[in-house]
Amino acid sequence: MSRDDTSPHDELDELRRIGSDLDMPGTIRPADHGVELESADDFIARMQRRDAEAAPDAPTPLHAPSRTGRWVRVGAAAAAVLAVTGLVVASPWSEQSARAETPAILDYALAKADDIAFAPGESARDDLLQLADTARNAPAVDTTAGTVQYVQTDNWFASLEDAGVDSQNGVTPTVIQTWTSPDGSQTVIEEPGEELGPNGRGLMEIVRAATPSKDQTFPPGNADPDSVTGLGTSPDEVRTALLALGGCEPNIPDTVRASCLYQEVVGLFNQNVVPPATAAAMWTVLAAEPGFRSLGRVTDRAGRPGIGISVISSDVPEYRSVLIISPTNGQLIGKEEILIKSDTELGLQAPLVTAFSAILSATFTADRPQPR
Amino acid sequence: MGEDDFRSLYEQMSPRIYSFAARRLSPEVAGDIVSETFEVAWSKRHEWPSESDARAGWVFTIGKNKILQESQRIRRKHHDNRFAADYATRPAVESDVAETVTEGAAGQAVYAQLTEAEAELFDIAFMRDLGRAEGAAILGLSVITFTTRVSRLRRRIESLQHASTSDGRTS
Repeated sequence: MSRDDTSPHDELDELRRIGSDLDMPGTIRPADHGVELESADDFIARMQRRDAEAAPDAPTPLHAPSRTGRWVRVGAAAAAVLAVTGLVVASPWSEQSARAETPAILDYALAKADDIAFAPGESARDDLLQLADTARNAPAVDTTAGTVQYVQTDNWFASLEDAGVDSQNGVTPTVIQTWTSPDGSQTVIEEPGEELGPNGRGLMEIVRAATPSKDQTFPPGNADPDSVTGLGTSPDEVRTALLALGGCEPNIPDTVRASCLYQEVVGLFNQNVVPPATAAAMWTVLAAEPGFRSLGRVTDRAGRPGIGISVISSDVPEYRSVLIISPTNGQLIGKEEILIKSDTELGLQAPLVTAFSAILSATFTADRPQPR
Repeated sequence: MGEDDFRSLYEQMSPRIYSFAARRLSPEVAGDIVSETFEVAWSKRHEWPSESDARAGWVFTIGKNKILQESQRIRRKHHDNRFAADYATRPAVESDVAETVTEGAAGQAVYAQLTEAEAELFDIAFMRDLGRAEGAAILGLSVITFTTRVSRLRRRIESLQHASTSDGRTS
């Protein structure tokens, strides 16, 4: 089997094989360095003693998990790799799967929900160039309000337990609000969003919380506030920067390169205010990539008109990834990830939405909320 | 959620966070990072994600923040020391990892050329007891994104290996 024939299930094994062959750095064990980690029982006992000393009259029991802690992983993961991250929550609606409750697949003009696994769509070039024109002619970003980038997204992705989609917990997507200051410090707030309707729609922008209820801040340097402006504005500059940002090798199959660009574009929009000129350059770059296919018009999960731009990477052919771009202002307004081939390892029956993210707001503002 | 869940999380994640921290700081400091990470996790236990696979990513992110804070502290200390006329060669933060962990020269050379994000992904993906879903959860990624990045990383490593071989720097 050639490397390019490697199936997604083998990718991890293949990476480990290559790493082993090269004797690349592996797991570092405490015992190898004379370090003995505290046992779990000792640690818990120490924490219980500490709690008792701090508040002898009101020890806090271990109970009542909430979802509010998940902002940590979203914020940090995004800062580390500028990746698109979703949240591990389940959603109640599914028209396609008897195994699990997942969001309804959206209907696209060239790919109805029932055909999403097979619909070829059409070349995305013309649509992307049109969207680039739209972005280019859109009003400039209003920077008079302040220097803090504020982005609000509504997110969901399937919680994958040992097998199958976990639908026992939460049934609502989660809104993430991110404020990024010029010094790279961030405040991230996560709250339950609107429940999706049976048609897979119903998201709406929420009123911004003035003050986060918990310490949901990250220190300066956590994010790169200039990650978008640093791309440049010409398509050549943007293409080079996106490929470098994603660590995409130049000589890879078209669909793999398209998938790489897809991930970087989504990651940047999910964390940053993207100027129209940069968005225009991005769509121009994507228009030259044969790996993208247009699925045509769609109404997104917030009820907005969009154009679906799809890629199926030959590295991960089980999934179809879709950018949803506004024909009104040329901004990215969402992304969808859809399982189109059943995954026996994870016990998932296709077709199935495994993740989505909708960008509900992206503006500049004056202040970053501080924790109480 | 109770003590058993916390115990399970600690036993599952403490060696992984240790290895991750040791690679970026030092094996000695890594033990403290593990303790501090789980102290934060304990104090924020009312915020634990309700889904078990999300907890690994949650605590891993706390660990990454602890590593970041420690790195910044070390840099500040180094800066202060320099302006205190301490121009003596500072011991490397990274200590003797390679002396006790079997790592080939070629592997180290390739690893050294990875970006921070690539090295982070490699460190997680190379933990052999992790499956795709668990690795994705630790990094806060969907499985498709994780798999795609692993694939991309594999190509990148092969490319670095081939470049290194053709340069005659490794055999």
